[in-house]
Amino acid sequence: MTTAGKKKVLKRLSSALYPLGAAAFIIALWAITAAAVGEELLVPSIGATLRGLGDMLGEKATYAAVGGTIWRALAGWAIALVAAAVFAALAIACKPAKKLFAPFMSVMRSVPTMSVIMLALLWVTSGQMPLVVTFMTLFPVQYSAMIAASEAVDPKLIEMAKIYRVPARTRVFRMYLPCMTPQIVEGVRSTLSLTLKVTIAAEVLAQTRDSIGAGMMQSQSFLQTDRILGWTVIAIVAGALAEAFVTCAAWAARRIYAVRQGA
Amino acid sequence: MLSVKGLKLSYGDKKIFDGFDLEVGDGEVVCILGRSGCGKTSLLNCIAGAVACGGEIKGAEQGVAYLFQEPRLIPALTAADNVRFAVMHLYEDDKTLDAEIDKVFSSLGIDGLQTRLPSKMSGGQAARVALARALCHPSDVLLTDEPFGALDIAVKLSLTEYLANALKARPRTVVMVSHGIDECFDLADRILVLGGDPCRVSYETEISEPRGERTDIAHRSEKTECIKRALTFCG
Repeated sequence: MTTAGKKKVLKRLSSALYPLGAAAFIIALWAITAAAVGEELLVPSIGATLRGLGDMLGEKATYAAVGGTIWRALAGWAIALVAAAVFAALAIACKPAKKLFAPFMSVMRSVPTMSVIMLALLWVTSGQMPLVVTFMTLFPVQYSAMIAASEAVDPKLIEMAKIYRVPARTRVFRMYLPCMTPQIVEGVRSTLSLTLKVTIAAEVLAQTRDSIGAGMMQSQSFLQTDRILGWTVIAIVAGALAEAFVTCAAWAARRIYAVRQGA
Repeated sequence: MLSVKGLKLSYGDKKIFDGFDLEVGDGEVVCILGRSGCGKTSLLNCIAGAVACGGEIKGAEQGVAYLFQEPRLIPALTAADNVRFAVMHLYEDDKTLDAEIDKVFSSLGIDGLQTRLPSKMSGGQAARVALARALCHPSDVLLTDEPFGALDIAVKLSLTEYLANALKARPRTVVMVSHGIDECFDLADRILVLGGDPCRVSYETEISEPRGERTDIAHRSEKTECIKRALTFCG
């Protein structure tokens, strides 16, 4: 191997050491805390948690819960994304619409998630509730991300398109969307971890069937702290999987777009 | 013919133009000089229809080709797609447009750059792509706003020479804003110095020798002195 190649490998290894070091630190802190407290009910040991997690992974209900939660989270996220795209398109195309939406978005952003959950408990079924809450929480965030992305399009490019009298359709598909896409993807992807948090919180309170939230609530009722932590680990992995799924979908969409553009 | 009559434009309380007139004959190249902020770019924007203004503008109804101070290329599109973006609606079919793009790219010495993104281009290459975009526009009117000002002298001279040849091969009605008197002498048939508040033509001179055959250095020096004096006093 050449010197440059060796340097590259060493650089990659050293950059992988940081997350490994952080993980080792968290595990060590957990082990020390569990040993210091000495009470499995308050802080279960790593071994007890892994045993609980192993038991859970052997149960069919766990997979149904994970599938149900991911489905609700992604559905709420996707509905919010489509709605945000429609409203953002209207706002970008028509300045008065943007001004009209602004106070609504401001109110939606400020309403506490708990208020939405409490009201949704009264209005919809426990199965629909996490979806409604996820939508209400994410919609204004995704709308704002899209508006910010549209404002980031260089005004000089917009002027160029105006002077060359480029038709609106071409402007949207060949200027606005390609310029906005990276920022939108980043902004929207960052809401995925928030999605799962909100969905699980809503599931806890709604006691939704086949959900991580209901599983957590049940474990808490039976004082199974190891299983609560097990559910937490599962939720973190599910979040990572959902993010990977959206990243792959965004990558595929970009590739298809690039091929269609003949790049 | 490109004709501007009674042009009126204000930014807030400040009147930029108040009854400004300009006529440019078919195939004529008019070069506009003037101090920064006197209204040169605003005049081009009015002709191009980029700003709302009063008065009557004739000859630019079918659209104009425009060379900006910066290349203004869409970062997500390749060089050829940047050209297509601006002019594809003016061509009947993609095949004709693609052939035109290939021809102009080849003549500009950027053959092979069609699939490159602006982020992978040098300043000179980006300026060439912007020039290709303007030259692929079928309009007979070309507006240029000091497009080669930020380039190094070698690239600037090469692009100015290319533009002169392109205008010889296919005459267009050109209004070009410039800060370089030499550039004006190389390309223009008529030079206008703008100044005043509101903006008006402070000095005007015609160059009688045909483009590409201007060898009368004494005559050129005399006119340069007049232009410099006009630029100094027009305010």
